[in-house]
Amino acid sequence: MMRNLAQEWFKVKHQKSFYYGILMLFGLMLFTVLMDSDDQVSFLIVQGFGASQWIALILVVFSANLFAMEYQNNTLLTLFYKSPTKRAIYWAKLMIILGYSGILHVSSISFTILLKLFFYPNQYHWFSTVTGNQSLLKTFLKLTTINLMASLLMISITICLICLFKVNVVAISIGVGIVFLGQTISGGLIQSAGDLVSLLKWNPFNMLNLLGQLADPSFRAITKLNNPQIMIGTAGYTLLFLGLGYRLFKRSHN
Amino acid sequence: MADSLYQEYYKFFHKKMVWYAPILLIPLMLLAWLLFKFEFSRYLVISSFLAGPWIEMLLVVIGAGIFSMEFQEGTILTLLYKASSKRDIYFSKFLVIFCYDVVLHVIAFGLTIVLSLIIFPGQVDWFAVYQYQQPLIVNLILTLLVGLVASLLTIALLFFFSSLSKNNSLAVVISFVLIFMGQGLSDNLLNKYETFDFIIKWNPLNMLNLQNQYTTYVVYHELTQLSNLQIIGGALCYTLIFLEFGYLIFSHRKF
Repeated sequence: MMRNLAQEWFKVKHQKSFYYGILMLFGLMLFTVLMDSDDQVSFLIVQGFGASQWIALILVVFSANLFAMEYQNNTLLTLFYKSPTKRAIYWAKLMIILGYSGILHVSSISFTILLKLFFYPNQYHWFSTVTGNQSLLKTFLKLTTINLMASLLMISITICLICLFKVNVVAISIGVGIVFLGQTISGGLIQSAGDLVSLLKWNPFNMLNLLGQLADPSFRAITKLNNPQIMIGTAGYTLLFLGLGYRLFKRSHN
Repeated sequence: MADSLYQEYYKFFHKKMVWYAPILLIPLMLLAWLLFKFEFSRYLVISSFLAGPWIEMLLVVIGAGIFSMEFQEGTILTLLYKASSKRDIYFSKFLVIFCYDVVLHVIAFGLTIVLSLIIFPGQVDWFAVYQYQQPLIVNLILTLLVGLVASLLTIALLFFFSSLSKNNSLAVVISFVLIFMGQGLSDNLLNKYETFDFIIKWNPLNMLNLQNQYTTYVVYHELTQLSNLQIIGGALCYTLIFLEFGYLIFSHRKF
């Protein structure tokens, strides 16, 4: 297990996309700052300038690359042969992805502070209580920590996709499509569902609304789930997709 | 040039994804119907069930593979050696995607007619006057043509970003971000810096508004500050500019 971990870390460390990912996060957050409209700035700050969406994007690309690397470079058989169990490989890759997710989240905290210092130095003080009844800083840190767990859902969906399709581009495109369109699709489904709402409101795309709902309670009308329910749904689907991904990975061959 | 063209056609049409994409259009268009169920059915028809954005996304996925396929399979050196010039390679790739784009739009036209006949059989009067004092079917055809121009801009941007990196992930992600958020960014820039309107309104991201402006002129004209002809002209110019830049990068890279 330790050896698998060391192997994966070696592979990741020598890829340039590791560092580009963090740079891209900063670029995308800057993009969000330029795109803002004045009445929503406090929500933007609390959500880290859309960091949850950008981190999800970068993680989709990162995890798809990590698995696709084996398929596309024909190293899958050697990898299976050389390690004690396939489960160890899967967990090693997952832990690397989680580690990278942690790095991205910590970077997003520092980038948010930096961007706010640069663009809004005298407004929206960190200890003001504009949103809800907690200080801006506390809400921000709370949401970022929760996002650490919520991003796991997107990661597990991507792993399933890449183990299913084995081609980089397809998995990334579908993953990116889900990041951008998933919430809209779920919203449309729930709106046009009529009587089936109580069933459809548990669809996995609705769980992507978790962070939005915690930041802005009026989301409840769209998701039709309350906070504990959406958290349980996210956790449940994450475990489901992780298990499914493991099955697909175990049965894959070159 | 003819040799390169033949080679690219062969490579392109032997990829499985290229044949799956038109079939994928059907569930995507049905999804558009689901999302816009409560709008006027004529809007669905005229925008051909959002075929414009869907085709752009499919083109991004397939087009990104065109360049990276050479790098990943290791055929890039042979390709450069065997072709008469780098210009031939680059532009024959573009021509192949352009033809595929046209084919997809024609298929979208057919699918729109079929789907609208199935989903709302009696409600759509094909020859009633809708926008620009023209019957609905003429609107549909013109919108698809306009969508062709818009997708050319997306392809040019995609080629530009693909030439920059060997890995196609970067190009795919940036192109997707531009498709979804490019219009929003340009709109926000225009809102914030109103005094610089006359320069900012010509920025390339504003040209991505082309399709939306053609279908709902009144709403979007305020946003973009450009007339239809100006947007079409701007889109074509930026397409040429980005294609040229992509070619310059491609020709100067060391493989």
